[in-house]
Amino acid sequence: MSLADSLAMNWRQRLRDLLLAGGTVASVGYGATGCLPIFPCGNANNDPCICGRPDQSAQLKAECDEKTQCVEKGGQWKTYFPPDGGGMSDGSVCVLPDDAGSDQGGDTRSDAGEVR
Amino acid sequence: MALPDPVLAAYTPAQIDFARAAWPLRAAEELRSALVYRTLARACADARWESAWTAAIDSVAIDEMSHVRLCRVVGARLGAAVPIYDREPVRARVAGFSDQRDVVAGLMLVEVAAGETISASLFRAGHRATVEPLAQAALRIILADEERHANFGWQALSALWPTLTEQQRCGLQEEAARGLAGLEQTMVAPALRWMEDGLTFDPALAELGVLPPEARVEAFYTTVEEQVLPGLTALGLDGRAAWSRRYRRA
Repeated sequence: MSLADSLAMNWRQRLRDLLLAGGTVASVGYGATGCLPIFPCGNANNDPCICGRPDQSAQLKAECDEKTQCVEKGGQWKTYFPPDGGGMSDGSVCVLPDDAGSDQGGDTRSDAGEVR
Repeated sequence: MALPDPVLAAYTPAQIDFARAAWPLRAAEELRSALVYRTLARACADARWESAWTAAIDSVAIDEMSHVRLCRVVGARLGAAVPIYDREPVRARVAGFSDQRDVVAGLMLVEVAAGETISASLFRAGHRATVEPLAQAALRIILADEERHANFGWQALSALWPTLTEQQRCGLQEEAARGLAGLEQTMVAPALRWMEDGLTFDPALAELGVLPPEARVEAFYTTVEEQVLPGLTALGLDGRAAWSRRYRRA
């Protein structure tokens, strides 16, 4: 394909090319990606399962698996924001139903018993 | 930093809400960039790369933090919430590298050279269509820095290239492919899906600084084809092969 032909590709051809290359496109909308569709996917959303993240690194794949198992157990995947973090989080943890009403104060335990 | 007051009388509450929501997202994205540059600076120091490069990267990190503040200020003026961000994706991004020189080469290639080149292109397209004075001024400031950062990335890579072993260069070819897939997934795939789903985009949002999906797609792929892939090839990698193999795993 010449460069001129390539530049003339419309968005449908771009999407087809992406899929043929082996990629996928996630569902759009706030609920799915946490961002506007015209902004980088997953911007400000730490969900390890969106935007093809599991394919990007073994660590994100492991985190996505952890999140999936958490949800399957009825838990919630929650992000921990330290009070002096200026909006920065220190990672996400699985909060199981048994944890929710526990007398743990600010403790956000995960299955593994630690906060990353 | 003197910014003009927002001029929003011509827009509906729904249009303003949509445009407002963009600023915390931009702030979060700029914060991610700042974290990447800080990681890069530390890796450069650990890898004992020339201190001038480390200092330059630190300077870029400061630019990115100024963008975070700028986006927060603009968002606050429009009534947006304080942005939040999770640092884990950046940590995970770095965790895949085996040594500090690989961190430097990989991040410089994907996040700085390719990423900032595409980012500058998207900001340029967005700024071009923006009419609202506050958004226009903020985007202009960010755009000027992003263009400088992109040039810096390519220059730094050219300087780094002769110091890499053949094995590291092969690794960088694979990293280029993975990185292009990641950039496509994060920067343009949601827009493609948006159009595939037949959702409509209000043209007035472009005046408020929101880049229409069609323009995002065009800017992304044009930049990849005209600047990023030729840049990779000029460096000594195979840009076309990296693109065609971007979703294949070695």
